Amino acid sequence: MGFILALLLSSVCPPGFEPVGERCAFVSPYLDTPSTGLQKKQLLAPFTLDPRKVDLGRHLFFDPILSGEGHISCASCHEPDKGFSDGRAGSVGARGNILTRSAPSLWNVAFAPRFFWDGRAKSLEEQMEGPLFSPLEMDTTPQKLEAVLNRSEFYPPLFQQAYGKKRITLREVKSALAEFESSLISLNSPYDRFVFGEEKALSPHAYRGLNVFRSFVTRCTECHEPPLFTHFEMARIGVPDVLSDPGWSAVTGNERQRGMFRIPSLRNIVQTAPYMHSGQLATLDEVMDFYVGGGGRAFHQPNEPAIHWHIVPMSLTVTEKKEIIAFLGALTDESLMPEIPKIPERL
Amino acid sequence: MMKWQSAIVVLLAGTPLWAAIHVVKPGSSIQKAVDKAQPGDTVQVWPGEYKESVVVDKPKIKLQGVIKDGKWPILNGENTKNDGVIASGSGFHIENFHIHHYKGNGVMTQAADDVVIRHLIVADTGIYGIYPTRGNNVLVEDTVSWGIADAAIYIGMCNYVDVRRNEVFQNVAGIEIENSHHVLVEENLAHNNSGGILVFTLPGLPVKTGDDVILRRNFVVNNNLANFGAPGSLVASVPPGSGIILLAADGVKIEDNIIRENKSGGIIFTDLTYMDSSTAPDADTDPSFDNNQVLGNLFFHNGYSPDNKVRLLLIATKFAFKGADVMATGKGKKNCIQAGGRASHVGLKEFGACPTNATTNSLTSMYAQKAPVSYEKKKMEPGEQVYVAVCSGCHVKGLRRVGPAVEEIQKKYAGNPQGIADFAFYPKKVRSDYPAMPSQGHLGRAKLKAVAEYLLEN
Repeated sequence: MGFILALLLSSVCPPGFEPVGERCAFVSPYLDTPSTGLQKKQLLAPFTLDPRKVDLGRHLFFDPILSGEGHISCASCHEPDKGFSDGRAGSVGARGNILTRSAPSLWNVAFAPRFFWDGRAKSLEEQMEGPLFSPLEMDTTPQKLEAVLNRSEFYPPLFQQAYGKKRITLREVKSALAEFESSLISLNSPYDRFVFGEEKALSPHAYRGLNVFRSFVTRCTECHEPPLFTHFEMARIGVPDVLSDPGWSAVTGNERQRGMFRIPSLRNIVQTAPYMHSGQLATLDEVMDFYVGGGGRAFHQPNEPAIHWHIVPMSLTVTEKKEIIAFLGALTDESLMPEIPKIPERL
Repeated sequence: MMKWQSAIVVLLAGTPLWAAIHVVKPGSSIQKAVDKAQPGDTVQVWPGEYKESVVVDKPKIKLQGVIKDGKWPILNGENTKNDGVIASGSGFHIENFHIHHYKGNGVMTQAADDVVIRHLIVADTGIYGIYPTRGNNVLVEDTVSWGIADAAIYIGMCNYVDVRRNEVFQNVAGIEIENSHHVLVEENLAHNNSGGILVFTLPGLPVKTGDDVILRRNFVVNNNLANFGAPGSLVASVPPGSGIILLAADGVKIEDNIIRENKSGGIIFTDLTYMDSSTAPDADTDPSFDNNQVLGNLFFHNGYSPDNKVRLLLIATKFAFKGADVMATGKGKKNCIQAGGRASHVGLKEFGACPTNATTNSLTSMYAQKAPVSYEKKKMEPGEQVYVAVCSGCHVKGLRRVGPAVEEIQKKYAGNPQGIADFAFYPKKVRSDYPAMPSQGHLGRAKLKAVAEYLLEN
């Protein structure tokens, strides 16, 4: 019998968080009293995490043990170096299944009130049951998942540390994954440094892009509201094949909501091509052209389906489009990127 | 020493004693002066033409035009520039400018608080003339706007706002109040627009309601202009000939206005089904118009020739062929009209009679009221707040600290949050292996109950 040193979960707060008692509180100047509208926290609410649960969740997130056949982890579709998305129009699920929608980025999910492109989940815990238990995706079951984790050598001691008990149930698994995902904060981009007083943080090019972005010719900020660059409402922008996916209407049963999807954040957006719910647009240039043409208005009859009223054809110069893209690049911040853990090899 | 004393004054007053005035004359740039200005400074702009867009991201900047011999400082977008002025800094103040020919808005403040927009001429802009959005404490007064392809004055998701003594004409919409709270629209003249004054609760926006809006002593006259809104825009569906429209609006009091010669209708109440073609339903937005009051008002000759869309709606829903001074289609409850017999009306069967003494007269300003709360969507719930701030010092999950672990509390008090709240109010020593808990009665019963529920649910 070999001597096994059980992993000790970190009790140190993840970067970007500071200790409050046994827990870790999210720290951001966005939580302070704003003196300009750009500093307003809007959707940002203070929250705390348990560092051990975050650390445990990090191991689970990268571990394919969570999937039915043991080949797919959360990180398979939410890859850290691809903005926690996967660079594909449709993600690849169990047995090579190509899914119909692309994997949304996970940055700043701590602040999201709804999840999935169609907004059908209200919490991360509810969300993760989707991919975990879908036969097309990770294809496991609660029983299988609990059994495989309880059987492993690696996990029961970790759950003991994080939850005070060795017996692992789905509840703790979801809790740990949610805690880890909530630690993925991206609010320290050049844009944010500009907002909090570092005037040169944005290049002149990107700064002009910010002004085009918030101008009322483009009206970008009406849906992509800072600082999260979304307010998470549902909208129909009308990508060409929009009606082939029921979108929100499948959740509500209301046909008038067909083709409506959750407005995505633009944080780290340059990392997450292709764009839109099924990757219909390959590049940000294509996205610009799409909106300048009036979004779906260019592809559909004027009011059938109704395209969001903020989107109408706009006159924008080539330079202005480039400036917006430069500005979107200034929303990149991966400074709180978690370390990828060593996952025990299994035979 | 001197400087040190001044610094203290700054802290006390918030505005430096040495607040500077940066003078801008034709040929130089307003933006450059803004870039140099410090919070508390005034950028003073002399008469002449300035072809630029101005962006203000610092707090407490005043843009002050100088009007001399009838000549104004003019911001000219030449139909190629996007917006006249964008400000995100709180405490922003702008006055005495003539702003025209911009593709976007004339003046827009984005999420700035304590904003004063006054004494402006705004003409020919592509979307809005004056547009404060997402702000608390906003004043818009003494402005004139015309030729705006959407709303001349648009108050979007703001709280504590006065819009007073403005003239708006030849716009698609004169004044529009959208998903805002505590707004006083007073002594404005809205004439010859497609719609005079609109109060809308729109779906799909981050603020889901609007409430406490007063439309008082305005002149809403002859708003019969053909609608020239951009196809597909929301405002394109405003029927020409509308004096005042309340779309899914709640808590609006319409008092002592003069409402005359609006051919579709004087006051039109409608619900969100009217907007069927341009919006999608939102379960969080109540589509009906509720708790509105029509008090006093002088009506004359409204609804004499309703726009086609209104005509069809009236025929289909009310078997009526003409508009009226006051009309309602769609669903609404708890609405009332004072001395209802004096106005011609259609579809008011569900309206009650407002009390004869109902009036908003004691309210003089919304803008001057302190905004007490932020209208943010997502907050830590009170129970969680108390847990994080107070309880977690001794009780955490999965761990014995000063007191028992949360799980033990959950087990003992399952389904009994009141038990936890009562114990925390009057704790007694129960277990020999833990110290006695000090009373948390200072938190109050409500908070204790909230945190108890939070503890049991999480």
